[in-house]
Amino acid sequence: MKDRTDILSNHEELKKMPYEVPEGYFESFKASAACTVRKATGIWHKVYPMATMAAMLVVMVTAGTFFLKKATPAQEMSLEDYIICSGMDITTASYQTYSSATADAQLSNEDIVSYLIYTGMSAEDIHDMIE
Amino acid sequence: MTDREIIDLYKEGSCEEAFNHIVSQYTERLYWHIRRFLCNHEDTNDLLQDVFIKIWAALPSFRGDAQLFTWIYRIATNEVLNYLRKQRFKALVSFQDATEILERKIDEDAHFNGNALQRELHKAIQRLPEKQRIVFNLRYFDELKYEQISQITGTSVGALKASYHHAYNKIKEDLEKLF
Repeated sequence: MKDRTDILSNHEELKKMPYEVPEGYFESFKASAACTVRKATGIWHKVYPMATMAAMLVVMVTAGTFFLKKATPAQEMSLEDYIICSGMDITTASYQTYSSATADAQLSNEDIVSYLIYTGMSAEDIHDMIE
Repeated sequence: MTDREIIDLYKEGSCEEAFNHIVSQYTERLYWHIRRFLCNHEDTNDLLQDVFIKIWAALPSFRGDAQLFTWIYRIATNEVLNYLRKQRFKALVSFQDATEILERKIDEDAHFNGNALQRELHKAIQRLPEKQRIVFNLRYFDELKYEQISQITGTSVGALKASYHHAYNKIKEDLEKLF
């Protein structure tokens, strides 16, 4: 016996779907489904995600290399630059500027310049000497 | 063609022909199954295409231990759940309520041709938690057995019965307040 208060059981129309579909929709969907699936599962569809990831990786590596080079200071300095930089700070310790421990040792340009600065010569004078 | 015959056709190597039979036999059923969740024709059409793409891709892995019918419905139901989750997330980030969006779709649907009671029924269904919504739709509209729903959802028959009971009573209560 039906429960008269059970609205879900007593109204048969509730089990029907209250929507229309556009005319001919199901027929055209069925006709085009195989084509849609073929396009979606074609070779490009498989390759595209991998190609996108590879491209992103290339961009990241390139950008990373670029910024890394920018951040790393120059390892070598030219003699001229060294003189100019040295000229900005002449407070160098004597043991660093003059070394004659071995008379036979060859002096580097840096040793010479350091010595000259130590003796009081200005960076501009040293630069003029070299010129 | 029966499901068994479709599977046999696929195993013989006539993959496209088997798939065409699946499309032919399942398009309408899947369309309405999805429509009850998505509440509008355009979204349903898009998701239905995705479902058939997934079916085609997954056919090689179909072992035949489940019925083709429950296997197909399982794929469709999982796609619906994924879609609803994405919509819920979109609603969340735009400070909207996902349920209200679905109810609005029902109200604004140009293809709706039912009466007020049917409209309120479908809105009440959207207010259910997702799992209760699935059970209710499959049991009430598709009249599937609990064992079939269990294979589709991976939930036990007992849990499904409880879920359906709650959903049924909740909807009945909502409708009886209005009518």
